Amino acid sequence: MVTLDVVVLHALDGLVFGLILALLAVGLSLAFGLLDILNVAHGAVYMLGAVLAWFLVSRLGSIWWAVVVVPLVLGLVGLLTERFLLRPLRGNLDLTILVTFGLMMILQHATKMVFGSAPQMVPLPIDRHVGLFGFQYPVYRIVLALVAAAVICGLTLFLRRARYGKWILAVKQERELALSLGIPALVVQTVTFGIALALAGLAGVLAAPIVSVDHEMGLNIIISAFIIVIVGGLGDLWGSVVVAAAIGILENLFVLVMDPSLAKALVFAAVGAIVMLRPAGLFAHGLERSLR
Amino acid sequence: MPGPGRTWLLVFVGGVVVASLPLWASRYVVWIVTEILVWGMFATSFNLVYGYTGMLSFGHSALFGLGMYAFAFSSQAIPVLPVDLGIGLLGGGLGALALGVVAVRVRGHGFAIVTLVGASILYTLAVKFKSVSGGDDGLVFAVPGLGYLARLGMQREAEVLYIVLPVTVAVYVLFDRLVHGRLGLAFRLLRDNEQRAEFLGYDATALKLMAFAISGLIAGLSGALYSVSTGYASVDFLHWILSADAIVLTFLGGVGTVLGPIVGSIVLIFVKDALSSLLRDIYPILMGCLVIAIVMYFPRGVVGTVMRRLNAGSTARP
Repeated sequence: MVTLDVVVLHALDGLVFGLILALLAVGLSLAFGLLDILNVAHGAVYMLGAVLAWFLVSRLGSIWWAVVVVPLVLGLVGLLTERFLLRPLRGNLDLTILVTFGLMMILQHATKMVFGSAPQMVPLPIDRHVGLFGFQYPVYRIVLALVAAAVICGLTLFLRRARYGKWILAVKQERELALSLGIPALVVQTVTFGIALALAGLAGVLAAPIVSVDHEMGLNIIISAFIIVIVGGLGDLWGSVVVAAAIGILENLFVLVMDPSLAKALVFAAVGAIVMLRPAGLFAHGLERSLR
Repeated sequence: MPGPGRTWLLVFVGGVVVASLPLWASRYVVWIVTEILVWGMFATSFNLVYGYTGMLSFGHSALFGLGMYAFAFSSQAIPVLPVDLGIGLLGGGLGALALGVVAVRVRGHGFAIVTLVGASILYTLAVKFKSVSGGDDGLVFAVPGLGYLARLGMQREAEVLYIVLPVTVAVYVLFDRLVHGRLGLAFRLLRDNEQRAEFLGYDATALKLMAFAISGLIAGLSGALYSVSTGYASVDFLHWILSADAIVLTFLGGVGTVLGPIVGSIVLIFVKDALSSLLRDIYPILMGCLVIAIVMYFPRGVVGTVMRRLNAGSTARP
């Protein structure tokens, strides 16, 4: 029975998941906008975040450690990856696609080897509900949404206000000039990619209690992330967030009236239509606008 | 001697050697060689759009799968092998047109993503409509045309080889003519400098679509041929991960060379075979490492590096 509260419930769930997608998309967009890196392994990093969260929860009992530690670890992985695997490619996008694809294969199957292929569940760290719009909504999802939103807002504010954001713009637009002004372009590149992977890892950790954790969970989500980045406008961070939320909500609402795979197909088809109408994306002002 | 003459000679010699295989090699070897030919053709379809036209596509799995299923359905309706192969070919080509119409409009590297998304939609739908596609169990069907030579005492693998081989050789010859002809030149111009192509009056979008469509024909045909060799079609072949196989093969062998994909296919299948005794999961990890190593150290692939050495000092392009 599709009543109003069911619709609202699904919409809220969609919004929560959309925020997870937004964390992923922001990282992907940042890597693309600044570094000309299309990180096919982004979904695998998300998966790794979730798997590591599950591992830490089963050893230490609390997910909140994982929320801090895992993104840091994955951020470090990002630093190393950019420095040794991606930097030598000198911004050739096609090659970054291939290298990150190789990385994805390695991460995914190494995880399968170490942790097995059986899906795992991570227990909800907060198993309470709160009254919302007349029904009970899980507190964890609200906390998740708040954390994700806080991180995104924090990041955007940081990029707009702090010098680092200006540095990113400078390196992107006028690399030689930036270097001659003493801006450490290479460090900026490396750190930015680290941030992107840390965000993906965080998304994985936060998502772990509400999705099924297995070594393949990155494969489907990477497609949604790519769609978001393309439709939102490559490099535009807020565009990605808006589109992510929209996709999350829409897909969850479609599921009410049709089969989940049809819902997915419909969302993808809608994307195709948008791309035909506006090939540069809906909010194609790019990285510059996000950072100004 | 550099140039197209050498390619044809190699193809001819290779063709003769392969054709003689059933006389002296084991059934397993014959089957492996058939696989090499089919995957080499699939990789060639990718090579056309990426190596010669500069468009990175993740959608080729869809075209392969469409060709495979088109062949499967048409075999059950019209059991005439050439017709069915033709329908497989068309399945891939039409699919490429449909996907291409949307994909070529996206500027720059969004093309890769759109093809990826398109392939995913197709895969999702195929999995959903399991009654039609057979899901990952797939469809098993009788391949028309097989059995004639078997009655003369020939083994099945050899029969399949004698269907796959002439088709593959024909495709390679046509492909070679295409890329060394005027259209191929236009494609390469598009790859090297799209803006200049447009300044010179070429319609970039139309050319890209054409390249993608031709590539679809080849990919569809390779899907159909794969079905010929296995009598089987499954949605597993629609998954975008298969596109990655084509990409790896092409890079391994040499992007933008005619024989590159087939060389890549040979190398990779040997590698796969050698590693098959090891843990199953090691293989994808090693493939991932291989991709990274190739991209970073041998971006020209086997054939590309060889040609570079041989042509050192000459200004001729492959």
